[in-house]
Amino acid sequence: MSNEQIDKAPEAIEMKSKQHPKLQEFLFSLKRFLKNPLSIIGLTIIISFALIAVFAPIIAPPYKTDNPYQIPHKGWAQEPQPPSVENPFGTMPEQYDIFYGMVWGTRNAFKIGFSIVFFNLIIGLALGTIAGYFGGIVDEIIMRIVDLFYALPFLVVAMALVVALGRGLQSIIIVMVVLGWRQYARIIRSEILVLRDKDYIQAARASGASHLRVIFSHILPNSIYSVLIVASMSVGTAILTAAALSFLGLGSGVGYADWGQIVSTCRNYIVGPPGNRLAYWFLVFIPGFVISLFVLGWNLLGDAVRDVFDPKMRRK
Amino acid sequence: MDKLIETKELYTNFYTYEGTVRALNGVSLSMKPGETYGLVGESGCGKSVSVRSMMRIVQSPGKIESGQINLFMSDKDHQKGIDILKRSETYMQSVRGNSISMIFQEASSSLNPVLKIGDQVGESFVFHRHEEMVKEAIDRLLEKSEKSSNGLANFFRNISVKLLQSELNSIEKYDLKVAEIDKELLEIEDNEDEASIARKHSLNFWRDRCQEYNFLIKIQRKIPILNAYQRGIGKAIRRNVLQLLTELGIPNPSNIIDRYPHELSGGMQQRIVIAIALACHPELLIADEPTSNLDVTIQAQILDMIKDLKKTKISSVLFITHDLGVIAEVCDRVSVMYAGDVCETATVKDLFKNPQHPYTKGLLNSVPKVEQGEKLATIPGVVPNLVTPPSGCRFHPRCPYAMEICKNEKPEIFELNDEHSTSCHLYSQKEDK
Amino acid sequence: MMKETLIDIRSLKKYYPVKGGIFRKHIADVKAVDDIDLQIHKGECLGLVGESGCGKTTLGKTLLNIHKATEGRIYFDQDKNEVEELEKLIAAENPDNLQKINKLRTKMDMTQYSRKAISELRRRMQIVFQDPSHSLDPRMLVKKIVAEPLVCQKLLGAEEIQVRLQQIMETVGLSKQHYNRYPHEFSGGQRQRIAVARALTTHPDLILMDEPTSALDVSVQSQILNLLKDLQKQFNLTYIFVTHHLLVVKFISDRIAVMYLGKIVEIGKTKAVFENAKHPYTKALLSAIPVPDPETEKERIILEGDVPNPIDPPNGCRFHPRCSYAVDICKKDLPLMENVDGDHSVACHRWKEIF
Repeated sequence: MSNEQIDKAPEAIEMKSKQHPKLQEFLFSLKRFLKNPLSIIGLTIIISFALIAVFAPIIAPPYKTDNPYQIPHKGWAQEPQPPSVENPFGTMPEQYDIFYGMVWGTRNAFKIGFSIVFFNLIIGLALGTIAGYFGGIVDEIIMRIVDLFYALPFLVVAMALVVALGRGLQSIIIVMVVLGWRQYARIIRSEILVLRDKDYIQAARASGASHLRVIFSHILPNSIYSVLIVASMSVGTAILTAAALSFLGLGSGVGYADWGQIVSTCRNYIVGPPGNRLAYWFLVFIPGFVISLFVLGWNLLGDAVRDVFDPKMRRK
Repeated sequence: MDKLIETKELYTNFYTYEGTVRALNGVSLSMKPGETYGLVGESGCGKSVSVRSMMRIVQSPGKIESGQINLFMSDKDHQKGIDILKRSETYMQSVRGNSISMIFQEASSSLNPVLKIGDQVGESFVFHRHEEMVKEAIDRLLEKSEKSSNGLANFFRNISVKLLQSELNSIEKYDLKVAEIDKELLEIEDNEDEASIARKHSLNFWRDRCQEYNFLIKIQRKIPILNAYQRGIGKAIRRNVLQLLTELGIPNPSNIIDRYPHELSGGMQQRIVIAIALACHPELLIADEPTSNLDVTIQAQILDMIKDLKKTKISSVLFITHDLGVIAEVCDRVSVMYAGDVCETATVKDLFKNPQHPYTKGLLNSVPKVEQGEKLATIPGVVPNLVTPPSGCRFHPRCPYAMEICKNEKPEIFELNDEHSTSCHLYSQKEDK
Repeated sequence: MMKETLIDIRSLKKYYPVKGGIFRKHIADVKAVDDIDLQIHKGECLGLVGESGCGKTTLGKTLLNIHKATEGRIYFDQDKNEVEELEKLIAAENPDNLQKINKLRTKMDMTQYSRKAISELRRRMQIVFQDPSHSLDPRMLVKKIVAEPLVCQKLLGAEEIQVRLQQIMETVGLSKQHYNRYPHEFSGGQRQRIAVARALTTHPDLILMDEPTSALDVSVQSQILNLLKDLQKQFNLTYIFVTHHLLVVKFISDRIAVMYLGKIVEIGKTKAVFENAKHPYTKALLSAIPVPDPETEKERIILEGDVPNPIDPPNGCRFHPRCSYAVDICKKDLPLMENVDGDHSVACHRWKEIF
């Protein structure tokens, strides 16, 4: 065999396409994503909600343009009214229109979900990465702080913080950020502990890469997906918890377009008068159904994101 | 020809995301009783998949597509052998670990880290030698009660013996039932008419479902205090494990038996794995790269042990490895595999002295030798991806002698002589002329 | 010997602390590398062989300062006379000289270098890892992986990097169409080529090869070994070749050092060690190689037992519990390196008598 033959690496891989590999990766992921019927369902649900949120002013024109989140109401009658042409989803006590509340509440739902997960991610990633990468005493201190936060009773702290900050959606978001970042920190830290001893990290260090470079170009790209998967799954959970806090009365005032708030306002009418227990079914069913649908959508989407991004599930 | 196990035109595929991996491409092997047979090839050539198919333990994206695996051991007179691909899962369970056992590459991961060594070795006694263990326990108890004059103790011993005997009865009943089914299956094995196929199905179904123990035995094992009789079986197993470890020359067996796997060194773990495989005196031991992760000095110890055992305890060994040195050392006959094909089968001496297939030649030349020149010979190119295997002979893209026919047709097996066969067009062409 | 010394190691130690108990007290040390002296010449390939756990990889990585040495001196490309002078000062153990020693060491001894000095040295020392599927970042493009040392070192401008990249990739036999791909798209052999290319980009003097072929198949292994040999000639590289595969080491190395439990037991020219091994351990190791030739009948020395725990190595000669020639002195005294002839040295009390 001649020298030339030996020294040329075999061209085993033909160029399949001229696309950039990053684009190819993306297309591959997209194909996997679209193959899964559940992910399509999830995506459809979320897109429909997004459309409702975007076109809220058209679907339910506000009567007070300066404060569209205030649900319009006719009169102060306590008795909720069942669905009619005028109020397609019926009315709450004090005749607030449920349809209007649900439509504008969608905007708030997205706001709550995204902002909670976003801030959680930022705080959790920063602290978890530092703890996992540097290890030793830094790790010890940060992880004990995380333990401390895990020891806080959720509801008690939530109530205390709301008392301090005042009622409203902002307070709920702050509460959930304060108590939510801890899990991201733990996940990213454990992920990095595994990565830290990998050969390619050592190789990068051996070729003189700085800590920052190692973190940003090797560690994070390889570990962030597991956190993103958890994040996409927990958008739904965040909204559910926020609704629960609203229901307990920690949310904004009566008449504010927030799903949890709507259920909370209707609390006294969940069970109808004697003889007709299901008289006010629409009060519980409609907001409950919408919240469940929204959460389900996010969970399906999160599952699909995991299937696409999880390297263990995608390649042999 | 005398045979122990043979595969005929075995095709196994793996269904993965990337596509269908055609791991085995019509593998035909045959092993004689009493020999050490080597299967050598590079990673991904299908040597492990072949033996996993033989044991029917191919894992889930994988599936045996077609072919035959004939076993000649359970019924020696039966010339045709039993096609185990047509048999039920419980039949396979009674074969695995009993007449064929297998050891894997990573001893540390084939031992359960939370069980003591003694329990793990004893497991094969529980699965395949339960009847003997129960008998041994009964004998021990009877012996003891004869010697002792303590009336109360003897009373309890009598109860234990009764319970053990009921267990023994149930095992025997089960064995009878299974034997009956097996006999009928064997009779109608070749019948291909609809009625017998349906009958075969139902027989296989019942074989899987007939319970080894009846309900009463199951209950009697669960009742506290009463189930103390089980300790007799446990003791019998422990005695057998100790005896086995001593026979295998493992130092200090009574100490090792109560240890956990992580307390042992790699070489010792591999020896324990071999002990587990040999617990039931298998007729065939399949060793899947048993020494690849060990150091040379420990590897020498293990190979030595296997060679010794070959003389005394096991009749046949199927040895899988990528190390040609190991093959040269332990095997009688070898098959070389490449990308799911068997390239060449020959006796070890013949193969190393007189290799015929171009791949075998290339492989032998590319190993660093004791007397090595300036350059190593290489095989150009890489092992193909088996999702899109090359057409015709799978070696043709890397073969220096490739001809037009190699691209189109899969070569037949060509017998050079009784002991040496190769599947390459070079030889079938010569024959034509 | 008139060869220039590239790296000079004096009584190098690398201990890993073992912590135990409630308060994680330091209870013992794993003596991975224990008091090793070694000189590596320019342009040679030194094979480090031994069983797993003998400290060969640790020695390599400590040399490259990937692991910090516990004790000892590493002189990288220093003037020989100056090194000898400093060594004399240290050996004298005169407390008055302490300041002078320290000053000289910060200048010459790699273990005392500042972080900046070490990261400059990184350009001259590179490493190729065992398994290329672990040593290449799976989410990075090949061209970025190969160029990374250059980018980190900030040695060249963007255009020069491109030129260097192309040059290196051609040398290892990869073509332009491989640049924009991820490591998982390559086969094992090609991945190892990428890893070699990364090590070559900064034009280093010394490359540590940490079992570079043991994760590869036989036919690919021979391709890589040939490549490494060619590269060594072409770039006048110095290799430290760590492996447990003795035939590979025989093929590629000029000299080999046999390690056992953190100590070098025998060192010499490859040919001399293979043909005329003096240490019983080397003998056993060589006889245990499975030779791919069924015709060779050879005497096999089978060692009893396993490698002892490096936390608590045996007294005296580390090898004595497994050695069939051991006598009383082996249990008491640690054997020193003795010169057999020329380059060939062995650490055994009885080498003159037994072989």
